[in-house]
Amino acid sequence: MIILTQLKNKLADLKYPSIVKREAGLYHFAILLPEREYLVAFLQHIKVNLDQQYYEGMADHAVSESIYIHDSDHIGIEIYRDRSPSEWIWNNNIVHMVTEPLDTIDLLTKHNTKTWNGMPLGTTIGHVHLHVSNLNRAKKFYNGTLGLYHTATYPGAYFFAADGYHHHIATNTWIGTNILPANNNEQNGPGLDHYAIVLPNNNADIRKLRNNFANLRIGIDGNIADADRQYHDNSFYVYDPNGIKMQFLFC
Amino acid sequence: MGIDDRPFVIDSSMKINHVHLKVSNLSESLNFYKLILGFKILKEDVHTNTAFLVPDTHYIDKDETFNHQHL
Repeated sequence: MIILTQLKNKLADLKYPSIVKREAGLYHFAILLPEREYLVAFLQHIKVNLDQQYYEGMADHAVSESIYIHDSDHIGIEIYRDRSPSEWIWNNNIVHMVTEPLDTIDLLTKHNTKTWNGMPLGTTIGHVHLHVSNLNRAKKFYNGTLGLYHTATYPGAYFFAADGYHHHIATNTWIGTNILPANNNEQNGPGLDHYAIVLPNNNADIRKLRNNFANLRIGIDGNIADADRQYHDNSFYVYDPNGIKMQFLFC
Repeated sequence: MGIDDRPFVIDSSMKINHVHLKVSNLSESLNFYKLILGFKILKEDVHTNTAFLVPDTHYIDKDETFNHQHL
């Protein structure tokens, strides 16, 4: 679910990676909790145990409720729970998403039933949110090439999802347009190595996807040296138009 | 659902499987991901200095904890 690899170069000034350098990369990855009670437990937990320097904020996005923090390398992390899909409002194929204050009083008074005991079973990576150089180019790739739905638009951000979800991948230009592509050189500092999408092992679909990449001259590289490569033989890697590395897993 | 002008439609069961992060200090990051986020280490590869983290915690509701304490 989360793989951490030590950079070979341990220089302290490697921290604060893509935002300061105005490079494409990870804005945050988002940990999806299975129930609202776990979000409350996590909120109670960080109130006591998380130094404020790691805390970034909280929000109600209508489709979900979120807490934002960053790790010791300033890698952004969202911890969230989804409202029931029956509560999501779709209008002309666009899902209603907002950024409003999180109702912590409601959370703490009505759903304070669990004590935080670590990430519960059923926790997944719900989505990734990326800094990109150009929203239209991002849309051409994530919607046009990968075949994700464009589900929502914020000022400076597009959201994409497979059928029925609010977003699996978001892209934004909040650190500027025409930023540098992701620098995958390990000396570039901490941040995203890659994120992985898992799909059913359907040969026809895999062939179509690979053909899509080939037609657009997007390189497919199944031979990139990677720590977790040995565990996922049925996979390949591509780089999105911003140089962000993605892995496709088929199982 | 969503704006649809796609020549290829990705399978509706698509999920994000994992994120792989490069960190400046693995032991410091592991402390954070274990103690603050509550992940467990599934395995560590000492050759590549890589750790694989998963959630695997079973929960007991506060009410149940209370009952256990008072048995």
